[in-house]
Formats: sequence, C-alpha cells, structure tokens
Amino acid sequence: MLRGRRVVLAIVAACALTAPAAAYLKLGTVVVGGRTQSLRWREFPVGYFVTNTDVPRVSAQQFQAAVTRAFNTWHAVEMAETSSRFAGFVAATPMRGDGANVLGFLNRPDQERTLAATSFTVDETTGQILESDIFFNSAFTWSTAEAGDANHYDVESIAVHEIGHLLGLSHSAIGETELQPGGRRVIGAESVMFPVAFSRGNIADRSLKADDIAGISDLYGTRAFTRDFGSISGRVTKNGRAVKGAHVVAFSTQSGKLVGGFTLNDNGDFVIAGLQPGPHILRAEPLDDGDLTSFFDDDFEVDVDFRVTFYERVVAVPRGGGANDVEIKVTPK
Amino acid sequence: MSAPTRASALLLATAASVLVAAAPAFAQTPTAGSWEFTGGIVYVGGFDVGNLTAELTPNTGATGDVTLFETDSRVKPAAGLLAKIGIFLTPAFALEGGLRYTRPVFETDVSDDFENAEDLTATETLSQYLFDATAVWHFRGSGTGRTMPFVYGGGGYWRELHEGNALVDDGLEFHGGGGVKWWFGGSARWGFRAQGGFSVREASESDPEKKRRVLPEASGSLVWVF
Repeated sequence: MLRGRRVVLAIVAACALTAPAAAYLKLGTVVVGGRTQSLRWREFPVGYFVTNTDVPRVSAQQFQAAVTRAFNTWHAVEMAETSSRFAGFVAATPMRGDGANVLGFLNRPDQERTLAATSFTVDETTGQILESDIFFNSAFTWSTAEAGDANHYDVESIAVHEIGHLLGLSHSAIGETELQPGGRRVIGAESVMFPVAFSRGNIADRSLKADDIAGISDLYGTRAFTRDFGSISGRVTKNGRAVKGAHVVAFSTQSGKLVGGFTLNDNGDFVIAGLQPGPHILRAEPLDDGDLTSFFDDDFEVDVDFRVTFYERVVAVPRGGGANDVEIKVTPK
Repeated sequence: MSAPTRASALLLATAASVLVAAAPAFAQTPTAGSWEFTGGIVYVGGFDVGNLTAELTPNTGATGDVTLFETDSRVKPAAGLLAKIGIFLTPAFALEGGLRYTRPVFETDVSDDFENAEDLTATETLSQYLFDATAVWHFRGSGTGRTMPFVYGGGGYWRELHEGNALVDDGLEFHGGGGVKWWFGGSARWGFRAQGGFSVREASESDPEKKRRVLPEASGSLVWVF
C-alpha cells in the first residue's frame, strides 16, 4: 500500500540524517531497521508545473523561464544523470501535496525569513521522492533581470538552490556569515546549497560550485563519476571522544576546489565523496555559520565547542577509491 | 646473467658491490663488451608547487575575495637509492639502464584561516620510481689512468605513489650531466662513481601548475666492471 507508506516532509530544514552521508548533506529518511535512506528520484525526467500567477516585475512566463534555466544548471553536471520536463502552467499553488510537482509564488508574510522552501512527498521505506513542490515567498520582491537587480532577489539563483533540495540535497556549510540585526548576513559562500542567501541583486548562485557538483554526482552519479572520483572518510574526535555535527571540508591542493561533509553519527564518522584524485587538505569546523536547524533536526545533538582545526597530514584521494581512517583531533574552545 | 629478472639482478649487484668494496682491485678497465654494475645513493632536488587559496564567493558589498585559508605546497629534496647496469659498446661509449627510488616529502603550509585556526604544515611521503636509459661518453686517459670523466644523457619513465599507494601519477623524465669514475688502484675492476646534473620531469596532471620541473640531481656509487 503505497499510500500508507507515504509521508510529507514539510520543508527541507526539517530533514536530518543519522548516518554518514558522502560529500555533502543529503536528504534522508530513516527506514525500517534504523538505516538511513537517501531521498532521491528513481525516474527521470521529473515533470513539473508552474503556477500561472504573476507577481510584481515577474510574470509567470518569466518565472518559468528562470526555473527552467535553474533545472538545466543541475542537468548540465556531466557526472550526474538528471533531467526534467516542464509540464505546463496550472492554477494550483505549491505545497498542497496533490501529486503534481508545482513551483510558484505564495504570499507568506508570516515567514519573514524564508525566501523559498521545498516540500516533499516520499516513500519512507525506499526514500523515493514521489512529489516535490517549491514555493517562492512573494512577501519579498523578485527579479528575473539578466544581470540581476540590486533591489530584488534573483529568481534563478534561489531556484537553483531550491531545485537542489528538490533533487535530494540538503544544506551545505561552506560559507561564512556575520550576525546583524534581523539575522545572519553572508560574507562569502562556496556552495549554492549554503542555507543563507546572498543579498538582493546577487546572481552568484546561478552557477554551481564544486560542493554542489559533488553532491548531485554522489546522488545520481554516472559510471564515470564512480571510476574517476574518490572519497575521504574518517572521524573527528575531541579528547578521544567523537564529535557529532562537525563540518569537514576537503580542499584540493591541485584545483583549489572545496567539498564538504559532516560527522553524522555517534562515532563522529564522516565521508566526503566526489573528490578529484590528488592531495587534499582537511579542515574541521563547528557549525556556527547558520542555524543548526538549517542542517539537522532539533533532537540532533551538535557539538560546536571546538576550535577550527586542520588535519596534520596531506590526504591523497585515489581515483575510484577512498582514503580512509583519517582522524582529525580537535580541541575545546 | 640468466634466470633472475633484471630487477633482481640489479639488487643483487648493488648488494654485492657494497659487500666487497674493500676487496683487492683487479687489473682491468672497461673495454668494448664490458658490463658495468652501479649501485649507490642519489639526491634529487625539490620544487615549489605554488600557492593556492581556498576562496569563497563574496557577497554583494564585499571588497575583494573572501579567503577561507591559504596554502603553499612543495616537494622537498630527497635522497634515495639507484642501481644501473651498463654495457660498453666501445671503450668510451656505454649504454645503461637503471632504477632510481626516492621518498620525497610533499608538504603544504596552511595559513591565514578565516576563523583563526592555527597555522600548520601538513605532510605526506611520496614514493617515486624512475626507470631510465642513459648514454654515457667517457673521456679516457687521465694522468694516472685511474680516473674516467664522463658525460651522460638519457630519458626515462617516472612513477609516483602517494601514501598507502593511494594515487598513482607518472610521466616522462629526461636527464643529463657529467661525472667521474675513479678506479681503486691502477686500472681496477672496482671503482667509485660520482656524478651531478639535472633531471627534467615533464608536467603531470597532478601538478597544479602543469609545469616542467628541472631538478638538480647528484649521486655517489660503487662500480663493478666485468
């Protein structure tokens, strides 16, 4: 009974993993036996509808064109196999759980810090995504201007982020923020999936970064991805005990690319996949540049009481294999 | 030489040359058709791999790039072992084949962390193998007959393994230089060989700068002619 096994996940931030995820944070659901199953589409192309509603400065057609470009940005990743198909305009609004994938605007002034959100209907026994909607909050002002508009948020940039969720990715932590009145402001980020958006007018998130590409390739990778890329696995410890919720970034000393992962279980284990073969520097940091609920469930105990630490060894990633048994020892703040 | 493989033979020859280095000399200098075994130690220079910055895409209003941290990497000079076998085609001209093994350290300085992590030098030890072929021209006839200056040039194939044999890198190598062989007593079967020159390593995929590297090299070896 498929219907009985379905569960609607409200927004992506509500999802958490309890087992190591390779490269990145992938959305997951705990299935029978306590095992965590990544959320992913089993069939492509993903058909999607667009709500036939205009908002100031953005017509439904302009919105659909921007969303299609955002889908295509993900589909252009060579090492991943994804595809989508625009199915038409509809009157239906997103987030209704009606069996159709709908993207569109909703006016939600009550969610004053939410630019957009993605919802899912999944088969909780297999992790298969059955439906996903994305709403853009029209309480904010939007633009589809080719070069961006300094006074408004860029639809395409935010769509690339939300479609990353739709495809099964959660948030990345490769970014730095500062606290300001009214919330966090991004200083810099190197992943479209960073949970805090760039400022109005910024269109940098129209392009995927290495971390995003590693994440989507890890979910839907081709044979070439498995053959040509590698991984690093290990654990983070503090005074001999596991650190849970640490963010670990791998930096290629050949390409300068950054790919991140997290310690997600009681052993402090992490796996970072989708890495180019070659030497890497590892950096472990506490999750202090975003709300913890942007990454994990409320009941996921995250240890943020440690100093940013580099691993003392250069780690060589093999082609098509893994460099294992790394232990990053951190110290309390 | 028969049953043993070439590699085994080279190793045996190297070991034998060390064990009997102090043995009495024989009155023999290389002639056309002579074979020569060489075994010894080698020094190969290092090179700077360069600086690389872990950058974040800046938000609107930021001045310049946002640096997460900076790195500066290098391959350090290393000592290793070498073994060669050569044949004299004429009294002056010889062809050699050889194997060189070194263990250089790859190190990366990490600094200027955005969140003030302690600076650190991360390291790993590489295993480098060079399989080469070399032409050697000897200038015979010094005052005592005990010394033989020579020049050499050749090419080879290098293969590099990272720790745990995790990653294989390889490429072509070319080398050249000069040196001298000094025979123990008159014209002896045993001698010492010192040489210096350069080793040119073709650009490899693993080199972020994709540069041809020119490295100094020097070696000291025992030589046995038969």
